[in-house]
Amino acid sequence: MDKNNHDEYNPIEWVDKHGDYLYNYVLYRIHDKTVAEDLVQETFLAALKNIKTFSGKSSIRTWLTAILKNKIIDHFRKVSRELPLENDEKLFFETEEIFYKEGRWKDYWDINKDPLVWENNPEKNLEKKQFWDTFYKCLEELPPRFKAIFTLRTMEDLPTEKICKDLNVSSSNIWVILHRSRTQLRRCLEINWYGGKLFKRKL
Amino acid sequence: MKRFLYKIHDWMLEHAPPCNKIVLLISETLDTRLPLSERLKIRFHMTFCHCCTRYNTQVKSLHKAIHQKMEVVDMSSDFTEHLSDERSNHIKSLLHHEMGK
Repeated sequence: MDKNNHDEYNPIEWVDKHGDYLYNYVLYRIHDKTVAEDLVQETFLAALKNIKTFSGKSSIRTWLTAILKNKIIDHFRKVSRELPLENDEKLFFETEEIFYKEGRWKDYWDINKDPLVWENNPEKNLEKKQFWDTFYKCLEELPPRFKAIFTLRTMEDLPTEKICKDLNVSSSNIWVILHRSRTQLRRCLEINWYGGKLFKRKL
Repeated sequence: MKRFLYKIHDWMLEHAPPCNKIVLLISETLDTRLPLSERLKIRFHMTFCHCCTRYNTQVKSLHKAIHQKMEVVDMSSDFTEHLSDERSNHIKSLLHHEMGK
């Protein structure tokens, strides 16, 4: 660490220099302003506590982001441990509803609920704030455990093995949870962004 | 002739793994490299099923868009959201306090 560069290694200065970056980083993953602020605060405090471990090989921002990533995992671990499984079960039925339940085409797409043609794909909507607002609303509708796993896998790009270990999920369950989350998100975007029809739920 | 082709289409689809199995495999391809046999199952099924083909395109496109969005956010220095002054000052005072210990 370059001890002569006092500003760079002054934790008080970090808040002005890196606070907004860390806040945006976590807000785009958790989408809750209070939780995001709490995690940024915890990150700065943890960084101060462990400042002696900072080798100076990476930038302060990279180091702070690594601490924040662990805080995000801790947050999701806590959330998925605290909440009941009831919502997970509800989503299971909704996802299975898109396929015929009986007859010759049992387990094939129900033609009233199959994927519609999308005018443009999500990659074309990258710059559209409303698209992402819709996406986050859909993400909020997932059960907390599903949201945690989907976020860590797709937004944090964590390997599934690590998610299984950190969130105490079996390797067979994680594929099903990710699949159901994607199916539910796809359907929600289709209704709320692409203007697809809402099918009647039989729950 | 058309009828005959439809019959062949339906027969092939019926003898392929059903859609609910295929969509699960499609999702898995986003997280892991599936064995050749599984990838062939998806390919074969999608030859006859436009629903799964559409599902495949849409979830992959969504997956890619989310990745790209996160990259943009992580690389950006033009922040759309800001840590409130109140919280920022609170963190600074906490750090001050900890440093004074």
